[in-house]
Amino acid sequence: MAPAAAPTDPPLPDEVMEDIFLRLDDAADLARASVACKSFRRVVRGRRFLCRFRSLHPPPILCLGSINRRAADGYFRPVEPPHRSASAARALVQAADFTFSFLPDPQSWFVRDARDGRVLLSRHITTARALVQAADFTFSSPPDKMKFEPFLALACKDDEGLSFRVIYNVMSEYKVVTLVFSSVTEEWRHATSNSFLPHRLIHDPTKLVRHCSRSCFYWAYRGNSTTYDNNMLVLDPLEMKFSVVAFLDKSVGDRLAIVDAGEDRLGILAFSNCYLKLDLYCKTWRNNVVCREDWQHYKTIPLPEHSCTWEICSVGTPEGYLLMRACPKFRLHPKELYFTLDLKTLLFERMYEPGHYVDFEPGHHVDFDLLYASFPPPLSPPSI
Amino acid sequence: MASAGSGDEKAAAAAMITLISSDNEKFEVTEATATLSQTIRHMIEDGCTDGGVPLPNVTSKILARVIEYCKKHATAAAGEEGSSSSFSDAAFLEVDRAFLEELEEFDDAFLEVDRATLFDLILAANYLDIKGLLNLTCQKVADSVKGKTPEQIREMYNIVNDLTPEEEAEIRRETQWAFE
Repeated sequence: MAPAAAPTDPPLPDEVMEDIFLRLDDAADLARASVACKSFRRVVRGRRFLCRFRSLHPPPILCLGSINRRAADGYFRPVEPPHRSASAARALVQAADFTFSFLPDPQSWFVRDARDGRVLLSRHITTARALVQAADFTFSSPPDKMKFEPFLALACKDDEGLSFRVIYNVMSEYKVVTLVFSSVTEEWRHATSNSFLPHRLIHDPTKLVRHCSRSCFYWAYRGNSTTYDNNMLVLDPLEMKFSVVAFLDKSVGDRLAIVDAGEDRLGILAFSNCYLKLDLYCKTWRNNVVCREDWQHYKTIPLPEHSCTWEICSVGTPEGYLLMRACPKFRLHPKELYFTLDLKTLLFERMYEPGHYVDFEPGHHVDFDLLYASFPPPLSPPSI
Repeated sequence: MASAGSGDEKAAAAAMITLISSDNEKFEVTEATATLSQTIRHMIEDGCTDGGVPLPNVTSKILARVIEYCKKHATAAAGEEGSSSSFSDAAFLEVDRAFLEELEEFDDAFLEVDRATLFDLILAANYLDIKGLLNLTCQKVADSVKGKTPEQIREMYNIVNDLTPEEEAEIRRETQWAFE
């Protein structure tokens, strides 16, 4: 009421300030508030507060990455204006070393996965074979008929959000062996092996595509082909249990995504109508048990740009976003555009436009298929 | 005065508690109203409310507002419990919705206070451990900060900038992305 003459307010205790700041959804609001005075800065920069903030708010998508690329080549691109996270993304890319030059022999590392603000790199895939053999498993298949996949799993809940797990999955025609690394014990352990899979489910492991949602991992063949079994393999990373789920009994395009479709629903997103729309098919999914009902058509999602060829790029949607690419038709030198589809709101957002033409510089062409979400510094978690 | 016999369920329902503000004003409230405060609930459970509950951190002006909030929300809680048995489902939902709307309107009107009062309410809600009131008031402050610059936040909440120019420049540099 009396602005200038009013006495300074009694300072609120830190725990109340924390309670107020935790209610800010946008990290930029939090960052700006921390500039107001010393006590605000102290509260916002507090390690415990930041852990709580990060556990309550999903981090924004800041970068696009590319899986199985040489890490030293630095294929991580910040999202661009007019996206609201563009300036935070630029700050992150300036602060982080996405060429991983701190690693010994940087040229020998490859990007394998990104999740929860972490990037997983590995060197030679053959080390997996040694690892699996060390765990006393022998495969009769030659390596080129097998699939070796390291990827990040949902981190175990802890106070600091610093622990993580890596899953190493090895598939052959007859057998699946899964190893898990926990950052808490710093050890690999054999989690599961399965040799009693339905006939021809893993007829050709090298053609199986891995999908991941927030909670589970799925392997399915591209589209559905009569050559292969019409089932998909599901891994629940908490229980480390595999199950087999009947796939969509309908011919859908080559590119699709298996996603969390909200409360107790497993979803398949596939193109329909000459790539003008996405169809979402759903099935009830409770406590990682799939109902026996068939897949139901749940929703049709129109694509934002017409006269484009659309593609689903993400290998997974652990952060709740699907990465998609649109390439304009009928242009001499088309430029691609990357979009994300928010799986909660089903809204598209423009993320990134590579600086080159699709067909112009073949050597420079990179397909982005990974999303990297994190809080920009100084709100990001401390490095280990 | 607060009646004894907190062990007797029926007596407890009608029991009155006396709250004493920092400026020695006495407020007589029902136990249902008072126990919205976890702090007072624990005092009642420990049997130390005879002769009134002194609240040296809360002025009579603020305590009156806090009691107004608690009364309203205590009736809401009682209404919910009571109606579930005496109405059919549909009627219950209807009554429930009307009640929630009324409560929301009450909360909105309740928050129409100046900044100093809002802060005092937060402090009182924190001290008395009244979750609903703390949520309501903290959310109001958080909403008011959204989209604001540090200068606007300082002005709104009468905050003295005690950062040295060097410190401020450094934080601004680190959080430059939040200003673009």
